[in-house]
Amino acid sequence: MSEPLRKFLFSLTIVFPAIMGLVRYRNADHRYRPFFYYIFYSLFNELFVFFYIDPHATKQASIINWEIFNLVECMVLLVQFYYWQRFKNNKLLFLGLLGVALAGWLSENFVFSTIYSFNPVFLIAYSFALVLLSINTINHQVVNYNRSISKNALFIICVGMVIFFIYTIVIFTILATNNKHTKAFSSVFEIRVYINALTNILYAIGIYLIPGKTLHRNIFQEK
Amino acid sequence: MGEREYQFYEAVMILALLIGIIIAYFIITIIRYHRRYIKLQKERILAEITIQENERKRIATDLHDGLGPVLSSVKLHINTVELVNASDKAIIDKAGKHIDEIIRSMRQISYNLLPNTLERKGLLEAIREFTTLINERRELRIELQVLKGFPIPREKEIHIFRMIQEIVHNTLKHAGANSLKIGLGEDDGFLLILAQDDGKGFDVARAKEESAGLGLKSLESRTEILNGQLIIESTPNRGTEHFIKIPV
Repeated sequence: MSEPLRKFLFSLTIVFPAIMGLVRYRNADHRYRPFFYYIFYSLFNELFVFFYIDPHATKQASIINWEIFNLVECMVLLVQFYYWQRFKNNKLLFLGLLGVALAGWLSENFVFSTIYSFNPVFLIAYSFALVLLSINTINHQVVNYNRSISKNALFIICVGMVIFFIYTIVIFTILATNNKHTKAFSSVFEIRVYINALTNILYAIGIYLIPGKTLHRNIFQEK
Repeated sequence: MGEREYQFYEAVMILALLIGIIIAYFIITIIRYHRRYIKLQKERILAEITIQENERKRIATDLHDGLGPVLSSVKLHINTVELVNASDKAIIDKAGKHIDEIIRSMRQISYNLLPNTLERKGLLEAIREFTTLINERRELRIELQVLKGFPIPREKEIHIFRMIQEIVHNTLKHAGANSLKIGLGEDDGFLLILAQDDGKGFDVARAKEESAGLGLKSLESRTEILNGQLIIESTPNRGTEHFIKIPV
């Protein structure tokens, strides 16, 4: 099996949460909607990269696509944390953070560098923010959730995010601090492929555990 | 891959592995400690509520069985006094009325502490009696629907009754509702309780975080010790729904 195909098959583990997302989309708690969109967009992006970008487009187009994906991922996940009330309904703080993220992305790709080159600072910075928000959410669940936490959707999804974004920080920090594209560096990048697969499985479990919109049956109608 | 490159690769892999172990340990510890914390919390709540209920039961019994008969006997003795003076008779009549009032208040206090019906006739009768009493006050119209009779363990009855009492009191106190529908049903070994009011509704998440009242906390605590599930859904101006699912 060729290397790109193997990586593609691993990245296709996003299909699991995407299928689960399609099944649960209508009856799942609406506060998880941004996460569903994130999963669907990730699947679309994987397919787009494998079937269009890699065979037909230039390396520059691939980098642009990657930069746009990073921006969308950051924005959608910040919105998701807002929906999970991690900003304590402080809309100003949330909008401020979105603004800072957008400004950071624009300045990195258009002021300090170009969108055609590999710019990992924005990715590392928002990954760091998402890890902190995920840890905060996990702590909140530990204190407020009074059932088995291993069956809590929010906990599972945030654990997935912590794992994925911590490795993203480590890998991209190593890649950013050394620009030699040697075989060793490619091998380091391999870690991300496996971590991505593990995270996708955690996301699929998380989506399966998302509580329904209305958990109760209207017993008055049963009479 | 050269020697230095290989050493770099090895170092990164060890780093990745160590991070993985730390994250795994962190998550497993959280799950284990959370489980232990929940268990301890449940035991503590159960102990507190059991002590509280036993105390209520003792006071209710003392009032009902101890003071009640004594007061009735006092009234009986007063009534047997033969009087000729009209003003003395008026005083005795007044004292008799006061004693009646005391007996009524005492019964009410005793009922609030622990309804006699719950002990003697069980949960469903106690709920029926309670809703009838509220309906008589005409502050709220309660419609009770019991879909079918089902056995409920004795030790769970008091908690279920208190939860319904709490929902009704919350509706009376905060909802500004005209009517409240309470449905009781059974499904696959679970007791289902659904209460719907037509009041002004409230922000459930905010109330849970910010409310200093004990009503919601009491509902949550009792659901917790019964291993049940409590869902409160409310929309401003569209009423509130309480759904409780308890294994019986």
